[in-house]
Amino acid sequence: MPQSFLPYGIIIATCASIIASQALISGSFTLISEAMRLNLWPKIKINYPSIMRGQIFVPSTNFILFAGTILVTLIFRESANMEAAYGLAITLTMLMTTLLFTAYLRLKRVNSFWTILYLVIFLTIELSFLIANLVKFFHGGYVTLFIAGLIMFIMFVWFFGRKIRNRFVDFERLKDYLPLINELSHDTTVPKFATHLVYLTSANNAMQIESKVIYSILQQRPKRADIYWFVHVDVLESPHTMEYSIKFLHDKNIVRVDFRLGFKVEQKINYYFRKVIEEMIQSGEIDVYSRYESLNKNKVIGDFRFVVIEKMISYENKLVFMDKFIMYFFDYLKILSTSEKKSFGLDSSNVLLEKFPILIKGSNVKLKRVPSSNFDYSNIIDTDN
Amino acid sequence: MALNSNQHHKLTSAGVIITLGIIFGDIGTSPLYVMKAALGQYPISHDVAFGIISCIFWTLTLQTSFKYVILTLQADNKGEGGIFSLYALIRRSGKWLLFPAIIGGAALLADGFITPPISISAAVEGLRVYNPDVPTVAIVITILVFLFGIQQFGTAMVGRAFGPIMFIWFSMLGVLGFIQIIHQPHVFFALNPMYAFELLSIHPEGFWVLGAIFLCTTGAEAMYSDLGHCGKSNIRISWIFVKICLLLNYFGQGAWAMRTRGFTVGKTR
Repeated sequence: MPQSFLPYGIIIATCASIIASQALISGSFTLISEAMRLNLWPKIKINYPSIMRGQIFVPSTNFILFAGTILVTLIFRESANMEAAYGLAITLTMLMTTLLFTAYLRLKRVNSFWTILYLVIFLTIELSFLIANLVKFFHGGYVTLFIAGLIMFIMFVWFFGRKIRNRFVDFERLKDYLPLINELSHDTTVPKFATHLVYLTSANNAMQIESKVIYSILQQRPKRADIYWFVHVDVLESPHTMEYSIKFLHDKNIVRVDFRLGFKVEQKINYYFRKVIEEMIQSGEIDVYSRYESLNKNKVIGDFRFVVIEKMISYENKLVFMDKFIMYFFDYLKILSTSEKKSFGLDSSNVLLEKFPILIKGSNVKLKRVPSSNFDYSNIIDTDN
Repeated sequence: MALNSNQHHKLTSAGVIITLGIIFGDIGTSPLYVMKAALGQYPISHDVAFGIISCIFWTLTLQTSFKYVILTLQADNKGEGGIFSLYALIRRSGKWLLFPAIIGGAALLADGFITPPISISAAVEGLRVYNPDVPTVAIVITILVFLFGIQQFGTAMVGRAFGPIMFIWFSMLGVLGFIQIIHQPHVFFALNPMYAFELLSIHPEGFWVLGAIFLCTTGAEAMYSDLGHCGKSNIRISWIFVKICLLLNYFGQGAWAMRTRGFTVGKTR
């Protein structure tokens, strides 16, 4: 490099390296948000600093990356030392991309000769790089591998923890309860809870509902509402889909709404839901004004109450060791992550949070009833009164 | 409901320039350290220099051009790329696919802890020419604080302005390389892959030199991840320009290394 040009060269190189880092940071935000929607990462806060599509900011990721890069700089100090550690983790990613792309080629029914040739060529190249990079483990590569291991652990716990939890969610046939809910809706002796009462449900089938939801409506202080909504959100493989469908379960006062959102779409359920109701009112599908003359006159949509039911597994449950292990960490992640109501973009003013333990069905506790005359008082140790 | 459809990225000259700033930062800053890492602290010999650029050329060609730019970019999920989009696309065809997706995604995120420090350090360390005692660590940390501090204000708009700067950067790489090549045009014989294979036996570190060579392609995965921001055709066209500039620079560094035969650069790893 000519001497006179050197200062400019350094400035441009520094700019280029900042730009490269910027791209990497934005890329990390994207990765985390995708992982979140694929149920691989706990629900965390995401900001949308500008109206541009795809522009996101994840505060927690930004902070962790910030702290991590500062630490790496302090530990390694020189780029030469970083070179010695850099590349090990990314070789793993490239190998995994090769595996996934092979599966993609098979899905696309590409001639198996080419698929195998692809696999062989790139496995050879990348395994060579991996082996050559393994030596970096001792030169600081363990730092990145440790971080990678931690991230992997969180992903596994979150993914399988949700699966275990959902295994213990009981569902009821909604049909059995529809008349009851309908009666409650018209029972003026019960004080009204909300005009629109909205439950988020994970039941894939429209004819089913979590038993906790039924319990919440009918028993846990009966909740009378003009219209009951069961909202279900499906996250789709295609990135940008935004669709919904409506199913009237009973007359016009028990309605199921299914949202189908792509895995890159923000889950602002509160906002989308209002939009759905506005559209339904406009098309005359539902009539929220009719019951109250004053509201009808003033065209007030009415108030909304979202009820979010948090599922907690009770540890008296008989889980196998592995499941218990996963759930133990899963609970910690839940504490760290945003609660369900926030992650669905519900504002807190109209959300009621109810917590229920999940108990395993059919636990065989033997409680024997004996005639009172036979009751033996002699071996009572303590009386609780 | 309004369908927030994916805006299609058509091939435009503006798009190609913007792509330079978003996609090729990592790959584009590798010339700052790859050669230094590969030469290590050994006296430079003709064949080792030839072998290194041959290896770099074939890595950029097979791994970056062939695997990523030509093949992997085709696996877009409605315009979106990256390991998780790919997983979303194929996850129904096998439960085991979850594991490569998690391992790959986690490792990609983890490497993000080194990419900013290494490229910024490598650039800032250039200041040592003027003053060997320049406090590089403090400067790097200042830049990092600034960089992470402005994230909350949204940076995509700024990202677009980065394109022209990267255009200048790549042009500079190309020109500087070209100046060196003029003195040693026979450096192009290194295109012969035989030199690449020979390197693995003649380099003082043998096969392990691949660990340093690999650094020239670390950015390839990021290019796939950012597919959704720029579009396939923009990436492919700008890659032609980027690769020419990169190759000119790497070959130029090779030519320079041959002129300084017998000297040493860098550190032993």
